Amino acid sequence: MRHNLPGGKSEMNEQPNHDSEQKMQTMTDFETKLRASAPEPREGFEAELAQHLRQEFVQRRQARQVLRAIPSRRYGRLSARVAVALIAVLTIGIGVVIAMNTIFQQFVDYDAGLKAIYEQGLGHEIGISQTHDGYTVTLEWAYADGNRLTLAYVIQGHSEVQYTNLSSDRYTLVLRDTGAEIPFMQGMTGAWIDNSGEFVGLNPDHEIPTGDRSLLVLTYDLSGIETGDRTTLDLHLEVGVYGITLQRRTQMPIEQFNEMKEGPEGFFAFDFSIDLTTERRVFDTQLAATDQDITLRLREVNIAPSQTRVVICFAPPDPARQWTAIPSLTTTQGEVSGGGGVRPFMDGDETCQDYTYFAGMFDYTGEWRLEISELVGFGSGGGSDQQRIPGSWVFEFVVP
Amino acid sequence: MHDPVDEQALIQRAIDDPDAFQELYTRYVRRVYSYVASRIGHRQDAEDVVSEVFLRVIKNLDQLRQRQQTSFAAWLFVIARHAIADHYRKNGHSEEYISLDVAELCAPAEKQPDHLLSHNEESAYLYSLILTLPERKREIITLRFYGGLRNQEIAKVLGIGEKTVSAYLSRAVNDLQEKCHAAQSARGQIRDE
Repeated sequence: MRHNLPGGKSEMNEQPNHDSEQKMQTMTDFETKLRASAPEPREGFEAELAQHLRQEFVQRRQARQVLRAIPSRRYGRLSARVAVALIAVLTIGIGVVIAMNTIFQQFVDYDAGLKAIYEQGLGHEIGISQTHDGYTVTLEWAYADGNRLTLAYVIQGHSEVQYTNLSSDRYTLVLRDTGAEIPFMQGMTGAWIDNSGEFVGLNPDHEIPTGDRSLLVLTYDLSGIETGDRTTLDLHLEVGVYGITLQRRTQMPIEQFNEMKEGPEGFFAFDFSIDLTTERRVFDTQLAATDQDITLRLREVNIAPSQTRVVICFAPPDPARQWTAIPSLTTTQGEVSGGGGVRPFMDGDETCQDYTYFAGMFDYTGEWRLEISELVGFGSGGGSDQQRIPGSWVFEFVVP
Repeated sequence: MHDPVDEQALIQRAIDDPDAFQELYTRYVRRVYSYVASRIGHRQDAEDVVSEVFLRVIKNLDQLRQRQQTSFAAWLFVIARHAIADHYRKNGHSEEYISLDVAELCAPAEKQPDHLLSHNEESAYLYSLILTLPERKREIITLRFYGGLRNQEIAKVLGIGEKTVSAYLSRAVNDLQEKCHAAQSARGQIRDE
């Protein structure tokens, strides 16, 4: 039976709105039930975890405050207050702080991935030293993830001697259990620290910077090493060391640079272990792009906390040449910086390029864009013997 | 839902202030636990993963400060997803496994107790239904109703469009509602028999 409502509308005309509201209410009730179905933690879990996290938080922040107490200054003397902090730090054995903070803060800017690792406190402070023939090598810090292993050590020469160079000509790293050598990827030498713990920049009395300690930061390629289900790496490092004194440097012609070197016989050997950060996001793909009748395939994108790697393969346009592709990798945040080189390899008839970016992209979940703008083939006639093929090969993807 | 301005201020303080960090933790721990536990059926493992999530937050919180456009909730649940994936990699599971108590709850309607479901039992049943959804729908449902994320935040976490999230969410909720009604009808029929 129909009933006329005030205003002349029949109840039936009102029915659809009532049904919609009813449906919405039912939906809202259902969503409320969905929320209520959420698993809940056992009693006491949140409080226990809160306590554990507070301890962890306080420890990490205390460690960071020690590092921040020492400013990075290129010129000038440290204030007395900071000098006292340095002495205190040395007393409790965190000798890494001098080298790590003052020099790392300057050099990690060149490696966004390393910077992300260092600032997150993900590396390991090691602090083991050896002395031979008046030279001391201290293995200070190391970090390893699925793609790279980076370590830092300080070389100290004879006291009271001014050096212009303290460096390594050997830095072999192997896994102790398998003897597998981990390939070296790149290195950088840090600046100098003098024997009072001051960072030394340009010495106004000399054109050539001098000091008695240097920091070396070396990166090795772990991506091709089978680490299995290891969560710890047992490593053996052999370091060869040389120094060039200011006296030799200024008294001998530069053409005799190798003859200027002096240092201990043999090498320094370190056996140590570090945790392997196993976080890695790997995107195996068969995305293809074709231009100029050449098809490029994006084979893999591999993201570790300190490094991103991209592998591209293609059939070489001219098999007699060595081919490389010119990439540009961008995200919604802009161009991915920190290009660390390319490792070419052959896979059957295809030439492949394994590009490395020293960037901390692990938490990025948005879109990526890889564009190859040119292929360059190098012939046997030297650097000028090039064939260049411009084009546009574009890959757009999201890494799960 | 917290005031975004208030939350930004809290995050800034939480980088160095343990009390502020604890407040941030208190706001999110239950949501993170619910999401993680729905993806990892084992309680102890879920607790371990939740602990790992917040340890990573402690390590990386000052990095978030530099990403001014990023929602903390979205960032937190990205960490949670990664921690879950790492858990499966470490433990060799290729698929999520469901704990025994939930499997029992997935029993056919005729084996359910012959009376109306209590609130807790209804919740458990809904939870078991969610676990039967396809991966993508399940992920979105749990991020929304257990993690408490908005569609925009879910889109950021999963790296998909917001409209896609809305579409999946709508379909997933409809699917669940239909299954619930079907189960209630079946129970009613069994009771009538």
